[in-house]
Amino acid sequence: MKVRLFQQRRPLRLLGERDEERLEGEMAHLALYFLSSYTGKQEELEQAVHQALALYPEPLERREHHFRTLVETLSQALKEPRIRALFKPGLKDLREHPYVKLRSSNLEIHRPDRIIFFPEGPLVVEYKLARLQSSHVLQLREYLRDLSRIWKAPLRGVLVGLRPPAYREVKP
Amino acid sequence: MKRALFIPPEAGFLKTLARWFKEHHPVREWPEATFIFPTRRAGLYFQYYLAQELKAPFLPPRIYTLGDFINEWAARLDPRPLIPAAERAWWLYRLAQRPPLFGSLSESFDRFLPWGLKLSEVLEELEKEEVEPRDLPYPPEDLPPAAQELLAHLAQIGEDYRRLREEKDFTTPAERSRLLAKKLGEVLPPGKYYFCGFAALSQTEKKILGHLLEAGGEVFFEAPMEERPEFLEDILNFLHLRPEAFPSSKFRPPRITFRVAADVHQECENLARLLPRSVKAPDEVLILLPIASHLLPLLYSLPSEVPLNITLGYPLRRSLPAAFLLHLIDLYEKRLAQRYPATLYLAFLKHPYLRTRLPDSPKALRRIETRLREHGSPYLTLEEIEALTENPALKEMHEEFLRPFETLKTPRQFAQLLYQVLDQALEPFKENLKTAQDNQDLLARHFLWTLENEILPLFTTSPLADEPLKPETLFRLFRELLAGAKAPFEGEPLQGLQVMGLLETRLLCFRRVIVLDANEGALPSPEEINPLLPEGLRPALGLPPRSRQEVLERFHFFRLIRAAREVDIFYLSVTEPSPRKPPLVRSRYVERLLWEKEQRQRRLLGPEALNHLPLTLKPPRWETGLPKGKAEKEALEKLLQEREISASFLETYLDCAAKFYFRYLLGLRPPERISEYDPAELGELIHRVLELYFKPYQGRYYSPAEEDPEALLEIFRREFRRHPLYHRLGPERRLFISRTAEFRLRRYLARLKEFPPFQIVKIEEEVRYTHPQWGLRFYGRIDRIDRFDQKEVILDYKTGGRIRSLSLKRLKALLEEPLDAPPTLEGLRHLKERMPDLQLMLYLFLWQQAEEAVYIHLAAGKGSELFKPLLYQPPFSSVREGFSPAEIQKLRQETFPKLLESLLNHLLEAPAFFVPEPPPRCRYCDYRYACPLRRPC
Repeated sequence: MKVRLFQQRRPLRLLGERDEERLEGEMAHLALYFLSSYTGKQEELEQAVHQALALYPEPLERREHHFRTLVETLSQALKEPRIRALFKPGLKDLREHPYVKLRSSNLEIHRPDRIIFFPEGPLVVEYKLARLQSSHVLQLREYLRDLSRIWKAPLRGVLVGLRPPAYREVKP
Repeated sequence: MKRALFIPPEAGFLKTLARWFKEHHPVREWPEATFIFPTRRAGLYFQYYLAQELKAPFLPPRIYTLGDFINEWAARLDPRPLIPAAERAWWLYRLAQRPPLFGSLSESFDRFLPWGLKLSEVLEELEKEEVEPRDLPYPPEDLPPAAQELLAHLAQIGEDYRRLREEKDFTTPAERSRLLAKKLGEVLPPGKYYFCGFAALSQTEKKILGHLLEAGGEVFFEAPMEERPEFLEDILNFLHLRPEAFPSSKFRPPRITFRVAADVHQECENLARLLPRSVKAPDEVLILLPIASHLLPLLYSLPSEVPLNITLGYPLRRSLPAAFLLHLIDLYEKRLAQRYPATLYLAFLKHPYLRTRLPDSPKALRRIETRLREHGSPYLTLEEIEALTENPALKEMHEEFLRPFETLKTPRQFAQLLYQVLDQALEPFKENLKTAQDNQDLLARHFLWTLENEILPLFTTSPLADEPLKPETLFRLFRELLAGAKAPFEGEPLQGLQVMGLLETRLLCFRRVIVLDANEGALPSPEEINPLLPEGLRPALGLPPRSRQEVLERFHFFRLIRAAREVDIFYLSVTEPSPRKPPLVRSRYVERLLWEKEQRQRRLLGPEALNHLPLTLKPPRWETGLPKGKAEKEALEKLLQEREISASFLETYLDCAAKFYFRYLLGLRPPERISEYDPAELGELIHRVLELYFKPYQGRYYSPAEEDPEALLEIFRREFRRHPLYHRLGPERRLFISRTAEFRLRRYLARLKEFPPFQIVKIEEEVRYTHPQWGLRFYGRIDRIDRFDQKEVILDYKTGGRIRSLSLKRLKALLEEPLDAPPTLEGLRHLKERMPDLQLMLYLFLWQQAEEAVYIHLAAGKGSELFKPLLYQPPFSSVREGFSPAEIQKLRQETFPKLLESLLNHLLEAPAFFVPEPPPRCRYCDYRYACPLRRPC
């Protein structure tokens, strides 16, 4: 069989490719997707986490543990004023919304976590569950470059670390 | 009244939609729009077409599948998680255990599971159609009893099940759909919603669409305006939509070529010739694969380096990891009192995952196999195997893979064990799987993913995880789940040549479509009928008629064909060799396409309309025999001079001369096989028992009427217990064999009681004779010689099989026939026909003083067929018009010796060792692997 197969590679636990951190990272992203705004009430966070976990059908190991960990992680992160400011009620935004570009006739689809439309211009936000790394900066810069071509103006970017809470602005 | 736009398939639905969207909406507003498609692929292709239109980066509209849309919005309203079908069946089982319902069904979960899965489907459908479950107090009598029992209590089950979902905090896909049908309007913000390309919708889905339309949505269907299918008409009526044709130009129908193949390999080989050298666009070529299991022959036929994207569900149970686990379970399950079946055990060791685990494999494997074969026992304990083979690696494997099954108690332990087994078995392959450079590894990852994520977690995290269940229940549950599971081969849909199943092609269009296996049974696929919900029962439950799977498949197939420019349809035209299988006929879809072509051309199509793929098969030219050269002739002459000629020696030649060649000329021993039961062994035992029984009477009279059969049976029981066969057989088989043998021996003695007292002359007598003219030595071992009224009779016990013998009429005819046999295949056939009971003929030839020879056919179906005399003499035959003494003399002095002489001449003079026509049962021949002339019979 010599054909060149295009197949997705889903991470396998048997090969040590799936870990708890990766899973919780996905869940945290989803919870922030559902968190429309945050005024400091625990119920707002809990509801968003519940909604995120509802998208994981059973059987999900340690559902309750994930719920508690996520609520705790997000609540700690949202104590950071600059992060909390991103969840002020009334902000207009796009969440998990893809953008599309053609690279040498191949379609590429990228999905920034959030684009918030501030009066001074759009802000591209990337959430990271773990400590921020330089690779995250490179990824966000690429988003900023591509999105600047769409808006025909430079965009601002910010990396938000959740565990530990961190906030780092990234320039294109 | 809102409109519903109909885009004809020929226009290319997604491409047309993308163009329309671009023309009607400024790019900056695109992110505010939401599109809902039936599949993710359709969404991806839609984005591809938008990109083609725009040629610049852009923010596309938000794109959902209907399932994802329902999940997201329902989760906002009610964040209870979904549970999978097997878990639903478990909860229904728990409900079914409550009295007074379902006494028989709820005895065990493995018994309930198949019904639980079907019941869950019925409840889901009722929920989706917003119909309250109601009891059917008098269900149709032709339904299975289990179905009747469940349907009679459906209202109660439905109510209990709803309460249980709330209590246990879980939901189901249908409940989410129903929730959204009710409440979506309350939460959905106004916006531009586009509901695109759906076919049949349930009641709740129609209501969801209604909410979207109220919020400012539009709906698009893919169908010709003038040929709207009934299920789309139903949606239009329900939502009061006005159908409107999408403006489009006229299209040419696709060029369709029908290609008729003999088998799947010929299909694939010819398909490969149709492919372009490179594929530039994702909508260029599609290979439609209605039978997923034909994927591998297809992949092996395609030219190397063809970029290929596969999108279909492949049956998980056909994968290597699943087969490995099933084999392991099978091995464990087929044990008899801690003893493992040796053949299955060996096959397990040879599984690709394990065979490299043994140091010095495959030599080590061969050694183990030899030891087990030499030991001969078909069932062995692990300790016995370890002691016999003296291979420490085996002990390790037993500890890892087999012994942990012995302590299995709960589903959680079972899943952990299977995971651990896979983890250990895959250890040598993990690096390859990680890099997945090889296509096999790439596909294996999908199988492992499905096992890891969809099968095993059901045992570890569902509410039944810690329920004590019998291993058989766990195994059955595993098999049931595996049977329904498909590994989703998900590719990069916008790359290369596309290979898809029919449902995966929804809304897509391709310039060229190549369809494989367009036969009935594949296109359309066999319809699954829920035994709890036959079509006739739907109105009684308040359900609308079902949009039949076939109607939907037909719709999807013809839209795909119409949307293409060029179509190649392969189908198989072949007569199945098995009479049980119906002949393969081309699909009804092919018939319709041919009929449409005839209508267009206003003439009947001739044979030129079908392209029969040339089949250049070289059928095997069956040689009639293994050629006999000088060396073989010399070896034969030597053999006849040196050995004594026995009945089995000559019978082997008559049966198949090629077999004779392997056994006697080459001296090949039949292979030793490990089997629990060998009929020949039982035959030897019965001979021994009869010898022991009659021995005391040798030289004396035996009076059948005065003998107690218990004495014979007692000898049998004693000898059987001492025999190795007794210890090797499983308890059921041992009992069966013992009872059968006792019955036959008792019947024999009972028949003997009809005879007057007779003298037993010889028992197990070896007789030899050297023919004065031929110079050949003959040998026989006669089971018994009796004397009846001064006439000696040779007796031969037969313990199995069918006995062939000549009728009196045929024997009489022999007296008048020329008995020479030419040294040809035909000559051999003549001899075989004339000497079916060669053994008795030879015995009379060797023991001239006997006047009759008789088979005692202990295994005869009827008691009246117990004795088969060769010469039809009394007291074994009661025929009136028997042989005269002169005829008997001629038979014995002329006919039998002449036949024997002809046979020996044939043996020496025939130019070949012939395989007779019709061929013998080559499949069961000991020399089938050595014989180049074996027939596929």
